[in-house]
Order: sequence, then structure tokens, then C-alpha cells
Amino acid sequence: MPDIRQFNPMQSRGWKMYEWIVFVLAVSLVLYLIFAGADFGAGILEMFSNREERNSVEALTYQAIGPVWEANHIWLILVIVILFNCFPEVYSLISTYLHIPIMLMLIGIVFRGTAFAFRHYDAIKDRSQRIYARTFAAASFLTPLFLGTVAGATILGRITLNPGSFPEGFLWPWLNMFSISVGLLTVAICAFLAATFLIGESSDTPALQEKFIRQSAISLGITVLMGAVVFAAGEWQGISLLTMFLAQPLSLFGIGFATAGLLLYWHLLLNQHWQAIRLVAAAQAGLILLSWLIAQYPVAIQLHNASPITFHGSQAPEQVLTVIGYTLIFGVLMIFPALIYLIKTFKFREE
Amino acid sequence: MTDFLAARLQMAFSLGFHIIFACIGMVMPFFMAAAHLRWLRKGDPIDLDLTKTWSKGVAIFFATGAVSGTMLSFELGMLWPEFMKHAGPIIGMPFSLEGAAFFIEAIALGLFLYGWNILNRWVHFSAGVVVGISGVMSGILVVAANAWMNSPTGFDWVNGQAVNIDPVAAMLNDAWFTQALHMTLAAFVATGFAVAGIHALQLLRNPEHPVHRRALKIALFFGGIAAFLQPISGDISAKDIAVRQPLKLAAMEAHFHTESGADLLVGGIPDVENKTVNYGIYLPNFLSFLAFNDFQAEVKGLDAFPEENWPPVLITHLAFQVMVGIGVFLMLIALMYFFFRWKRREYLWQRGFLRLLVFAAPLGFIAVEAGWIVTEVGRQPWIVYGVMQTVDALTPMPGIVYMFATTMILYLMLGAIVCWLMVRQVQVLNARYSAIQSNAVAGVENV
Repeated sequence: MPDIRQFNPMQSRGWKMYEWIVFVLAVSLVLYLIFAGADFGAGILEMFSNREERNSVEALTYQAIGPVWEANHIWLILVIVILFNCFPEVYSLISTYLHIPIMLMLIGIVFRGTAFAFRHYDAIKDRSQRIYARTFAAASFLTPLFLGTVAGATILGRITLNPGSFPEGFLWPWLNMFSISVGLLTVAICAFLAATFLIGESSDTPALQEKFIRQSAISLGITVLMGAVVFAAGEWQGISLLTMFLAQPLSLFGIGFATAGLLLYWHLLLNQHWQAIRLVAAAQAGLILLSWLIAQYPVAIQLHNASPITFHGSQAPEQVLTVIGYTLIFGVLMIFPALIYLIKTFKFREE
Repeated sequence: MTDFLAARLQMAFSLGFHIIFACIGMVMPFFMAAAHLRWLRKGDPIDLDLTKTWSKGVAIFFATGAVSGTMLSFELGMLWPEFMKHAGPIIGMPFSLEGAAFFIEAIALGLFLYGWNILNRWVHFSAGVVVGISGVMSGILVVAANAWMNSPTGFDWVNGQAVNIDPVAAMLNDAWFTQALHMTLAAFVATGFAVAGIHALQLLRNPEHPVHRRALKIALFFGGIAAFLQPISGDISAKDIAVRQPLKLAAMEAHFHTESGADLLVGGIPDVENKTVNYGIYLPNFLSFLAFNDFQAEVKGLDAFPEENWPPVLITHLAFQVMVGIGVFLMLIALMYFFFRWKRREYLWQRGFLRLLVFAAPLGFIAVEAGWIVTEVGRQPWIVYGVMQTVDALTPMPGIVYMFATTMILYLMLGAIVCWLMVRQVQVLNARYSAIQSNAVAGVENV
């Protein structure tokens, strides 16, 4: 009797589980950037709020992100699970050589997640609230910073297999201009997403709304600036993003659309289309990340002293991809309706 | 401290921390749903108050469990990259299903916590139940991955590489059912007794408090039933291990010499150098009976295996004794509880019984930790039993001791804050009721 697991209808139609899994991986990364990014950004904006504004920003943040809060961060778990199931070499190399920035990012995640929950569920609201708030804000800045740093380090090509010294192996791969500027770009994108998102949430308090409009413009400016810095730092440190992007028409299109989106964004901002502007901002962030991923594909990790690790070169055996692929289909069918119901319940209640 | 020891300690500490929050996060929603159901059906405001108070606790524990779980999913690779490189694809299926279950749990929790007065009341109630069910599901699925480390199947190991991988067979490994059953029941026992203990402490100070009384009854109901079932599950586990991991059973029992009609050791301090046990009490032939249902069966001793493959016998044995001892003790308390509920209701609120519950509050979690020590330390020196040794899976990064210290400080701090937050929750609950009571008294005087 033929083993049922050997049969793969997708393959027989010329589709492969591999592409589906890479697609889910990319989509999860994009959704993590957009949803968790907006969460991080809300904390970053709190950090740049003065004392009088802070309480109202806090209350708004809570109202805006509270219900979807935990769900936003599970995209990262999905990314990690896909990596270690389907691309185990990628996962084990990143977690070995980028141990330190990942640890710093995790400390950020731990402080952030707990400070947010503690701030709102502490039964007594006293001075401890300020400690939670500060922790939340600082960790909101540090987490995407190191997340971006890790992403930058995987593509820069300073990861050295069997390193000769500790700094060569575990510091210089990520402690450099390029990786850190990717980190700062990530922070800027998060702030931009949050500010744009919160404009629509703060329609009841014009002063606050003014502030978010200002902040969205500022963070947009910083994002564009940091984007340029990332390209420059790359050229300086031996990775030509320009060449990478020019070689991939899709990436060029993506970046082109994201840039053209600036005009649309400006138009919507001036005409106060607060719902549409969110979609534009999310699309811009998503396009930047997607273009980057397409430009980098199929390389997963650039190595200093060996040929790069690619996704297809490090994929798990077909049998594993088939099973995980179907599991992901099942997961998506479970998660998306639930997630849409959650967002509909809390975000589009008034409409 | 060597990097190897530091990495093992960091893993043990991270798992040991996470497991507490994971247990509470998956069991408390059921307590909450029980109170909620009572409120929906009978409309007693005490139940509503209890549901809301508990739901705040669930939110705090869930958040802490979520971040410490995220940390673990990275730590596996940061500390044991060689393990994850080979094992990742094999045990991927339960992990990806767990990811889905966890996602559903987070969504349902959002709906429950923020859905008061927004959702239809039964939809809202169901959201709370879904939190609990998906929590238990994720627990069971994660245990599948651990069970695979004890009972590796679904692949062939050829020249240091896994080939012919079958993720489904790996998930359905022999150890999964026994481990998942034991762990799920343990979560209910530990959480039930911990919650009951906290409310018992409040009742000692404030004996008539209706919310604490209701809370204690719900928590002990769940915890008590689980405490009853747990010894049966333990027996299934013992019989399974006797066949599958005889070396682990020998270490748990400090059973040095292979013999027929083996005695069951209770207590005692194993002396590995001289291969004897000091201060032990023996029940004749009972080990053979418990392992194989036959008083004369042969039970393999540690001497049947090369000594370099022995797990640390002292730790494994003591942890096992602690787990079993606590399990039996909690089962007896559960027996008292159900007897009182059935025949002697007034005894439930006796100070002596409440004090006993306060004493028992941390014991369930101590047993959970001890149980994980038995299964994890008892598997050493293997990370994948019989396939890969733990030392070979270690990261090449030096200075792990600093990572361990950082993790430890982070988690100790977090643990302390969570305890402090719980104290504050209880304080507010108590203050609210004394205000209601004095208002009631004032109201009577005014009339």
C-alpha cells in the first residue's frame, strides 16, 4: 500500500511545498513588522512624549493595542518555528553567531511584554506605574533595534565559521555600522507605523492628534534618512545593496512603490483620511521588507569565509516540508478567521 | 563554571521558570470559566467578582509565560545549536501545531479580557474556555517534543545525520501519551493547590469572605480530581519507563543491581561510589510489581549499563522521591476535601484544614519541578536518548555563564514582581469587601 504521506497533490500540479513555506515565512515576517512594529512604535512614541502628554498617550496605546497585543507578537514564534523546522541550518547558525544581539532582543521582549501587562493589570495604580511605563518605553526601543541588527548581520557577511577569536566570532558580525543602522531603520519604521496608526485613534483629542501627525511626519523623515544611511553604510562596509536591488526588478518595483507611496501618504495626511493612511503606511513598511527579502533571496545568511547559506540549500527533507506545509495550511485556516474576528470586534466596532 | 554546566543550568532555569507560568496559564482559565459559568447561570455577583479578579491574574501569568516561552524557542538554538540542527525538522510538527494553538490562545484571551459588555455573553464565555483548551493543547504538543527526546523515533541515524525523517511518527512517539497525561494532570494539581492555598491564607485572616470561599472550592475541585488521577498516571509512566528507559528507572530508584523480585526503595541517600543506598526503607518485591505487574519480574539495575552512561543518580533519585512523596500527600488532602464536601461541610472552613492548604500551596509546583528534574536529569548524558549526547550539542560560544547569570537575575526579578502583583490583587479584593461590609453595617444602623 502506498504511504499516504508520500502523495503530494501540490507537487503534482507543479507547486512545491518549499515555495509555500518560504511564502508563509515572508508573510509572517511582514505581518510581524507591521503589527508588532506598530506595538513597538507605540512604546517608542511614549519615550518621546513629554510628561503631560504621557498619560493620555498611554491610555490611548492601551485602548488601541490591548486586545490584539499578545497575538501581534506570535508572528515571531511562527517565524522561528518555520526556521528551525524547515531551515534548521539557518536557525542554528544565526542563534550561534548572533547569540549576543538575540539575547539583548530577548531581554527587550521579556521586559516589554511583562511591563505592558503589569502596567494594566496591577491592582493598585501608584508610583510603580512610572517604572512599568519607562521599562515599556525603553524596551520598545531596544527590541526592534536588536531585531533589525540581527537582520542586518545575517546579510552583511561578517559571520565567520570557526572563528579565531571571541570578537571575530561573536561581536564583529553584528557590532558594526551597517547592522546597527538596519536596527535604527527598524526603530524608525516602527515609530512611523505607530504614529500613523494612532492618528485615527485620537480623533477625540485634537491636541494629541496634532502630536501624532507631527510625529508621523518626523518618523517618516527619519525612516527615509535611515534608509539612505543603511545603503551608505552597506557600500562602505562591503555590501552593495544598490547592486542587489538593481539585480531584482521586483525589489526595485517594491521600493519604487514605497517611495511613490510617500506622495499618497502626504495627500492622505493633508486630507485627513485616517483609515486609508494606515493602510498606506502598512503597505509601505511591508513593501520595504518584501523588497529587501526578494533582493536577498535565495541567500539566508552571508558568510565571511564560506559560500552563503541559501534557503533551498538548507531546506529540510521533502517529507518534512510536506508535513510542515500542510500543518501551516491547517494553522492558517485556524488562525486567520480568529484573528480577523478579533480585529473586527475591537477595531471596527463603531463603524 | 564550564560553558557546558552554565548552558545546562540556564536551560534548566529557563524551563523551570516557564513551566510554572505555563501551568498556571493553561489551568487558571478553566477555574475562571467555572466561576464565569456560575455567574451566567445564577447571577451571583460573587462569581462575577471572582471571574474578573482571576482574569487579571491570568493576564499577568499569560504575559509572563508568553515571553519566557518566546525566550525558550530561541534558547534551544542559542545553547544547543547542534541539537536543533538535527532535531528541528524531526520534531517540527508538534512545534508548528503548538504555534497555531498558542496563537488561538492569545486571540481568545484578547477576546475574553476585552470582551466584557462587547461580545454576546455566551461567545464571551466560550472565548474563556477556548483559552484553556488551546493552552492545554499547546502544553500537550510541547511535551510531544520532549517525549521524542526520551523516545526518539521517526528517523534513521546514519553517520551523524538524520535520514528517512518521518515527522508524524516522531510526534506519535511512545513516550508522548504517558508524559502528556502526567504533565497535564500535574498542571491541574499544582495550580489547583497553589490557588487554593492562597485563598486559604486569606480565609485565615478573613474567615467569612465569600469570594475566597468560592475560589477555594473551585480550585480544590479541579486540583483534587487531578490529584486523585495523578497516581494512576504515574503508574502508567513507571511501567512505560521500565520498558523504554530502564536506565532512567534504575537511577530514579537508585537500583544498582539487576535482580528478580526487586524491592521498592523509599527515601534513602544513594552512595554511587560504593553502589549502595544509606538510610533507605525497602518494600519487598514492590519495584518488580510496580514496573512489570509481577512480584518476581527481573528489574535491570544500573550495573546493566556502562557507568559512563549513567545519569546523576543522587539528583534523579531524590527528585523522584520528592515528586512521589508530594503526589501522595496532595492526594490525601484531596481525599479529605471531597469527604468534607460530602459529609462534613463545616470542616472545610476549619482553621486546621485551611492551614494545611496554606502549607500545601507551593508543594504542587515543587513536585512539577522535581518531575522535570527526573525526566531531564534522568536522561543525561543524552540530549536525544541513545542518539546524541548533550555535550555534543553545545554552542561554541564561550562565556555562557554570563548569559546564565543574566537570565537568572532577569527571571528572579520577574518572579518577585509577579508575586508582589498577586499580593496587591488580593489586597484590593479584600479592601473592596471590607468596604462593602462596613457599608452594610452602616446601612443597618441608619435604618
